[in-house]
This record gives sequence, C-alpha cells and structure tokens, in this order.
Amino acid sequence: MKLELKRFGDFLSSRPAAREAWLAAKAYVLNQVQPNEKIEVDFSGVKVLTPSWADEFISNLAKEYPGRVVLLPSDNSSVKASLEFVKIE
Amino acid sequence: MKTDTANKILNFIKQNRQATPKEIINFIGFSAPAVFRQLKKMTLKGLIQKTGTPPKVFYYLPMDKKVLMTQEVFAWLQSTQPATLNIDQLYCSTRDVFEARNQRVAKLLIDSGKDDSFSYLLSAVIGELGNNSFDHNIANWPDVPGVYFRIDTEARFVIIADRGRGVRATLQNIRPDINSDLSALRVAFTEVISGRSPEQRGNGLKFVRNSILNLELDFKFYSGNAAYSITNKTENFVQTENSIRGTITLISF
Repeated sequence: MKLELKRFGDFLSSRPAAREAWLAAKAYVLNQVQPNEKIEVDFSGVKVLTPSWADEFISNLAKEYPGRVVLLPSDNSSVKASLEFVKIE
Repeated sequence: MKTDTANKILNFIKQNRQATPKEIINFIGFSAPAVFRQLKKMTLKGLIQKTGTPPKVFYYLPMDKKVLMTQEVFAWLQSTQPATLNIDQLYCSTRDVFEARNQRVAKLLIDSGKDDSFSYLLSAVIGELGNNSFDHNIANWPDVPGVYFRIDTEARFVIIADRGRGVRATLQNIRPDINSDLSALRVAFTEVISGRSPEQRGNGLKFVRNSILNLELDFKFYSGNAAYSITNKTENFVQTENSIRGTITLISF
C-alpha cells in the first residue's frame, strides 16, 4: 500500500504532531494493509519535514512492520536531509 | 523640515540605538504631525526602519537591526528576572503558537526571493530548534515557558531563544560525565545522543549542523557559557565570557 504523508499535512515538524499522525494512521489507514504487504511511504506534497517528525512516525512504522517499509524517493530538500537521520530495518 | 533635521534624527537614533516617536518629537521640538511626516519620508527612503505596533513603536537604523534585536534577547537571557521583551508578539508561549508561526516561514522566504529548496530546509531547521526547546523543557521550565522567535527577511536573520534549562542540564540526564557547557555543546552537535533517555533519538542538532553547512549559512548557538558557530563553513566551539540561561540561536541568511 502507498502511505501518503500529505494526508497529515504539508508541514510535518513536531514530535507531538507525529505521534498524533501515527495513531491516526494506525486507526484509519494501516488497518487496511494486507499481511506481508509492503508499505511505501510517499513524501510527495510534503513541503517541510523535520527529523523529529520523521523519527517519531517512521520509526514507529518500521517497528510495527519490520522489513516491510519502503521510503519512496523525494526531491524535497527537507525530506532528503531529514531522512539521512532516520533508520529503518 | 530639511535635511539637517533628518540628520539630527539619524544621529539621535544612532546614539540611542533605537528611539520611540515620542523621544524623537521631544528631541527635535517640532509638532508631532511634522515629525511623523519626516519619519515616514525617511522610512520610505530606507534611512530608518520601524518595528512594533502602537504604542510600542521603535525606529532604528537598518544596519543595526540585527545587532539591536540580538542584544535585546541576550539581555533577556542574562537577566535574573524574566524581564519582558519589547516585542512580545514574537514570544511563543506554547508549541502551537511556535508551529503556527513557523508554518508561514517557507512562504515568507519564497516571497523574499529565496528558492523552494532553501526555504523548506531552513523552515525545517527552525522547526527542529524551536521544538527542541519545548521537547527538552516540558514540565521543567525554570521560569518562563516558551521560545522567542523572530525571522526578518529584509535584514535576513533568524533568532530563536528560550529561558529553559540549557543544553548541559538536559544532556546530564543521560551523560552525567558532561561537566561543562562547552563539552555539552560538542556532544549535542557532533554525537548522536538523546537528552530524553530512554527514547532513541538525539539527531536534531546534528541535522541542524548538516543543513547549515549545506546551505552555507552563518550560525551561532549559545547555551550557558559556551558557543558553537559556523562561519563560511568553518566550525568553532568556544567558551564565552558571560553566561546565559537556556539557549539562543542566531542564523544569518
């Protein structure tokens, strides 16, 4: 499934906002993911991403779905810089 | 009024670093409408700039604006009492206020002529710095909660400051061996560590450092009696003469 982060806004900055987004994603988006299905994280439409937001959201996602999270490439400067600090297994 | 009046006003502002309309009127001795007309002319010519909203309006020389604002915030951080800042609408007492203001930063930068790539990354840097203040001081603010946040797209600078616990106290939660503000800054900007152990995080200031180096900006960060700076891509950690509460970040762009 493709997980479009723009659903949570185009300005993704604080940890509390990321935690709220993660809870909403679990309840309303990720409940539709199929067993063993890959989750492609799509950053298109996101203007500002911080490493705090990315860490809080994507680390939780990778922990919940180990080996199934794929980060799609982005041209956005803040997305590229923030993802340098996010590790997924 | 003639040019010599304009010069008198300029000298008066220069001597006092800033001046209110009332102070200028008293000094010049002309009627208020005449002085305001002159101030308007001088502002349109770019000789002076105005900041604040009535009744707290100040005039200053354009080249001094950054210095003036920086001095004002340093004084606030060095005060034993949490004195009020003149420009209190720049104070974000909660994270929501800070986030709402930072959401407008990218557009402000783009409107001022910066490209999207620069604007989005600088906004992320500002977001990381401001949110750090809230993340590491929540429920622990020594006196005034929140951050001072100013961005000026004309004078091209950013100031973010807080009267929080500072970097050293924050990091000592997880690294009790850190025994100076200077070593705290070195760790904060160069090692992956979280001040909110056991959470796995602590990359925020490393991200700030990388981004500032990539954008080739001038950057200064103070906490306690230490400072970290980046000038022309050269980094320096130094001990400072005076100590401040919390942190202050200065970015020139």
